[in-house]
Amino acid sequence: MLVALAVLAGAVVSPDYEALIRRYAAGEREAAVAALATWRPSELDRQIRALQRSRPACPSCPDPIEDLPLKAAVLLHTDRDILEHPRSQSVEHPRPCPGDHARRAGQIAAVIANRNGMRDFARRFFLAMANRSQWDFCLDAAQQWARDGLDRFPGDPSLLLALGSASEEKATLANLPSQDPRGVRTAWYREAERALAEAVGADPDLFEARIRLGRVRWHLEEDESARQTLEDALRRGGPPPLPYLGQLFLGQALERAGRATEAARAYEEALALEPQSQAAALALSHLRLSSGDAAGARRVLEQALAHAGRRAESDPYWIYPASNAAGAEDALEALRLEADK
Amino acid sequence: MMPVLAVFGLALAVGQVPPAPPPVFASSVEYVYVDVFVTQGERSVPGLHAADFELKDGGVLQSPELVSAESRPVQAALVFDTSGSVAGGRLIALRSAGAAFLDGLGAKDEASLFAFSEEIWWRARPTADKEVVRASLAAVGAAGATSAYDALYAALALADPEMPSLIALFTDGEDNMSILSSDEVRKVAERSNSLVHVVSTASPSSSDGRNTARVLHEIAEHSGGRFWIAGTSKDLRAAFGAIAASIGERYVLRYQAQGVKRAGWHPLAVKLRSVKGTVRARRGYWVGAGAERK
Repeated sequence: MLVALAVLAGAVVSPDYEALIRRYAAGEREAAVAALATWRPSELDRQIRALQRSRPACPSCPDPIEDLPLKAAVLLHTDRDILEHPRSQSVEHPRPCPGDHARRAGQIAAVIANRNGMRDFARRFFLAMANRSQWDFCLDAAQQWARDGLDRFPGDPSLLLALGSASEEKATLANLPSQDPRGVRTAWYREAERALAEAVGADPDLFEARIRLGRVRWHLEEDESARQTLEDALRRGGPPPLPYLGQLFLGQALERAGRATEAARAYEEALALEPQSQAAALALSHLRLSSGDAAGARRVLEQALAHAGRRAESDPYWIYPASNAAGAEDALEALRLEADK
Repeated sequence: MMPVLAVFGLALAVGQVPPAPPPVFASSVEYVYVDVFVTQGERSVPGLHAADFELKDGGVLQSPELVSAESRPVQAALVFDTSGSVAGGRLIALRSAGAAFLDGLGAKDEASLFAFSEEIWWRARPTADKEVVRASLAAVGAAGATSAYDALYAALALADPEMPSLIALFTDGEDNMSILSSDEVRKVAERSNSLVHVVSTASPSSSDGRNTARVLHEIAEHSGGRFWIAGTSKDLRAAFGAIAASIGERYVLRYQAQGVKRAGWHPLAVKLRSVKGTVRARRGYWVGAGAERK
């Protein structure tokens, strides 16, 4: 009844909810996020439904939600969700996945995705949430955020990269069902391949998508296609540390194809780009051992292990599974600042 | 507790023979050494003689002699998972288990320590001074991801080819960061002379799609070692203590391979003739083509 009255009076959401959003937009983020906890979930869902249903009464009529600070509403629910699901500080401990407030934030973002002037904010929000979820190893959620974004922004290269990377990580690292694990894994890699190929098609300069596409094809045991994709990516160049990863993965594609000399060259090139790399050194060491050079294998390995505990930066291979998602927090903070305006 | 068993690997010998085990020449004679563990239930069986063993190399019956285990000190590598999931009580238990392992080694045995998360840290190089390893063990922290296959590879590749090698690896999780595949490391293990023991909190027969424990179980069994499931701190300490103890309880069989082609894979079969017990020994050894004698 309250909502109905509010709509009749020209408002879409309840005055209390609007006041809460405006409080967040005014910079009282912490207080607004705390106050949101006092709302019943069913009431909040009613507010969201009201937003979703809002339409101008006629083509020339004003947009009833034009004056609402909806960007702030998105971040208000996002921040509440983050507060309710604190992150684990450790890589291997269970991490929280997005909950109901994140879902509500996504529903509001979907509303503003149709509004001129706010579309790019919505796109970046879906991307940030996909990346944040992937960083927290909530891979199903990451895929869903990316898909939700792509529903509104079809063919967007960044969202395609997010979907491809989350699918790749899921295929590589997530637990597999006991029934037909191989088939399931292949299906997940195929999904990654489709998304990444589309990303490359949409933005030929998206170097990371090219590297990932090559890596996924290697996982699919399509070594020749993987090699071509990676060589093509490396010819085009790209920012560090992607050329290192490209050389490392190219080496593996060449090694499995039996091209040991070229594989060694690729690993050596990777080591030249990242001299403290453990992954490239291990790959090269293993290749040498397999080729009968046990002393060479040992030498490379000893050099690499000497860096342990003293690296200025992590081996980029260790970050690779979700490297595209590393900037999620900064992206969300940028959206918060934008919501304040 | 799983049944206590034997330990040990095998050594062939010859100077530079990568990737196969470097056979050891005594004058112009080339010996194959096979470490054998014999148990009845949980207990090792002492007092056996060479005549109690039947050994076939490539299906051909050989005539092994017994060599004292003390005459062949072991180089033992502790390879410890120190990823994030080990932090807290498990790390404390692991340090204690490592100490129990060091306590069980002989004075001439060497020990080393690898700690791994995504990064492999060779914390202590091989040394007969166990206090050095003990001090390194105390300094180990836990954080990060798990590169169990890479770490096992490092321990295998860096094992001293001149000494019998034992690797005791602990992990509590699924490998999620190795650059090397399980198949690649399995092949390296098969062609090495190292005896591999794996202590894990996970069962190799879990049906949740995880397979690191299963792969490590296969590697351990193939090498003549064992896969130990350690669900508690007590299990962990007991497993590492038993692994170390088994080194001194092993039988070392030595023979000159007769009637078999030298290069290539040599399947081994060791049985007891008239004594009851369970025999554990590696399932074979590899001699590279480049190792042919001139």
